[in-house]
Amino acid sequence: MSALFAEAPALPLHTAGPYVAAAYIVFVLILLIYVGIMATRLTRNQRELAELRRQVEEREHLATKSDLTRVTGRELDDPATPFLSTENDNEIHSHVGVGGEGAAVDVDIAAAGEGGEQ
Amino acid sequence: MRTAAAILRKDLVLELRTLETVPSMALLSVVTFVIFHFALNRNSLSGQVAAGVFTVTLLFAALLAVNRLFVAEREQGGFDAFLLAPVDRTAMLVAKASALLIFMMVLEVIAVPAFALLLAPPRIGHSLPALMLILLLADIAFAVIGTFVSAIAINTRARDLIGPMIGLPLLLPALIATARGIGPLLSPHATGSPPAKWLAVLALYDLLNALLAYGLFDFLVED
Amino acid sequence: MSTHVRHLRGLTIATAATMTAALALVFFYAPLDAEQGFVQKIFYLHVPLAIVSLVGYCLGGVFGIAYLRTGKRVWDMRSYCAIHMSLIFSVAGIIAGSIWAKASWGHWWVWSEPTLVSYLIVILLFCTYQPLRFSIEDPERQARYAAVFAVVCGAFVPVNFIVVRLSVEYVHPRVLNLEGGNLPGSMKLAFYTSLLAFGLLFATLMKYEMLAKETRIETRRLRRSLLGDDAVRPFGRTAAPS
Repeated sequence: MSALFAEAPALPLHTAGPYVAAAYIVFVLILLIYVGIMATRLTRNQRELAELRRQVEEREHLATKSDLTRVTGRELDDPATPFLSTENDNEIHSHVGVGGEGAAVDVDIAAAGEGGEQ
Repeated sequence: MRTAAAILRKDLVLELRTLETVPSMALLSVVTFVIFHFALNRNSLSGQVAAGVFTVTLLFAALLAVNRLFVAEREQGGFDAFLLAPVDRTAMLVAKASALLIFMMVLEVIAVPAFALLLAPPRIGHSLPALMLILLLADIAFAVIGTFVSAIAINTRARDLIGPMIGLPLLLPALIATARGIGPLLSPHATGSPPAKWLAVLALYDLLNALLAYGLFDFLVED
Repeated sequence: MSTHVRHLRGLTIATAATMTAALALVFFYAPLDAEQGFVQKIFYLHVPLAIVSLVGYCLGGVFGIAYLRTGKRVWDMRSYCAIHMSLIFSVAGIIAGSIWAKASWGHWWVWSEPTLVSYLIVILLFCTYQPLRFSIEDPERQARYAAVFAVVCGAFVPVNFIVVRLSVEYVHPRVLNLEGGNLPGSMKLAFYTSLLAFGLLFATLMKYEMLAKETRIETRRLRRSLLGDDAVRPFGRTAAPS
């Protein structure tokens, strides 16, 4: 590689040095800012999600107590549902302990074609 | 195969009766040559500049055809009829690509003489066989990629915009090879033999894209 | 935590550690290049960014194939996030490459460097990914078309690189040519650490994006089921998978 550079014309190194330093600094700064924003947004959303799950669980317990018939959640096996895959959905349910989440799932979401966040 | 031939025949008969696409492409090519004359302020072009002007003009004409390729199917229910019929889905790809290929070849019958007349590149008569070979390979690239991109674009909202936007970068290797292949043929000391490197590049690129399009086309037309 | 995004905490820590190590190696351990001096350090930023982003594009294609074969939306999500992250990385990479071009040739852009040129073409191509998704409303069709696009363009990346390289006449010596054998050992260490750091960074950021989207989706779903349709604001048209 040194042989290659030996053939190169005279380089304005002193003008470009600051750009290199600036590039690294800008990169690190942008990375930190992005991670910061992502982290705050995620923690906020995760907290809201946990809260919602807790509420759903409460409602499920009430439903069980009053002996309402429950949908088993087999709607999720329909491959046309535009969400996460069905087998993993069952895992999510077992993680959170929300048993018949099928009762809460609105299959109309599949047909409404709503978009996700950009 | 028979399905593809039937669809191809339908498209060719349609074009013959309405004469929409190919005359517009030819007219656009000639006008573009005139524009290039004024833009470059030259009476005659040679070498790589001539090749570049011709390749870009061909590209503009191809984009016209690509935008209109599936419009009839879309607006008059041809897609639904095709999906209901018990035929291989890729027959539509073969038919449409062949139609586009034929349109491009007819266009070149008009565009090459016009180019020779208006922008007078040297040795074009001498290099004609090699030129035809390179243009054939280039037309296949336009046909395959153009059909593929058109099939994607026809089902989107911004139909005329998405097609060229996706198609142009995908066509770039083919355009590079075409322009670089034609360049030596139009220089004052041309020997008339095409550069083998770019012929090989074009042929391989055509093959790769044909295989990809053939494998993926089913996913584009299913409902 | 989501089932699709695993090992995120460990990955984040590993990324932070490797990135810090890479930066330390680049600035304090790797020697100054004899000819170019300090400016050569941009090499440790540009080349890893380029490599990681190009691999990311090909990964997007692979995930697209997985989606087409299985129909599971999670693969579409992965494809989208991979391509999105690769686009960001490649824009950063081309800016770094432009800085190197300025340092080496005095111009912010050089056509004689085939890696930069083919990189630009690939960026232009993948810039059309989100407009394509944006213009298809039906989510299942959007995912399918995006997957087909990802596959074709993932295959396009290496082909384009080869063709552009063939088209450049070697009048000027290639500045960005990475001859691994000629790098002295300390530079090699800094470079490979940097490459690893950026690879881990890509994986981490991609997983974060996936997690953010999945959280959002499930939040909306639960809100709708708990509070009814009115509690959930419609998003309108978007380019991201839902």
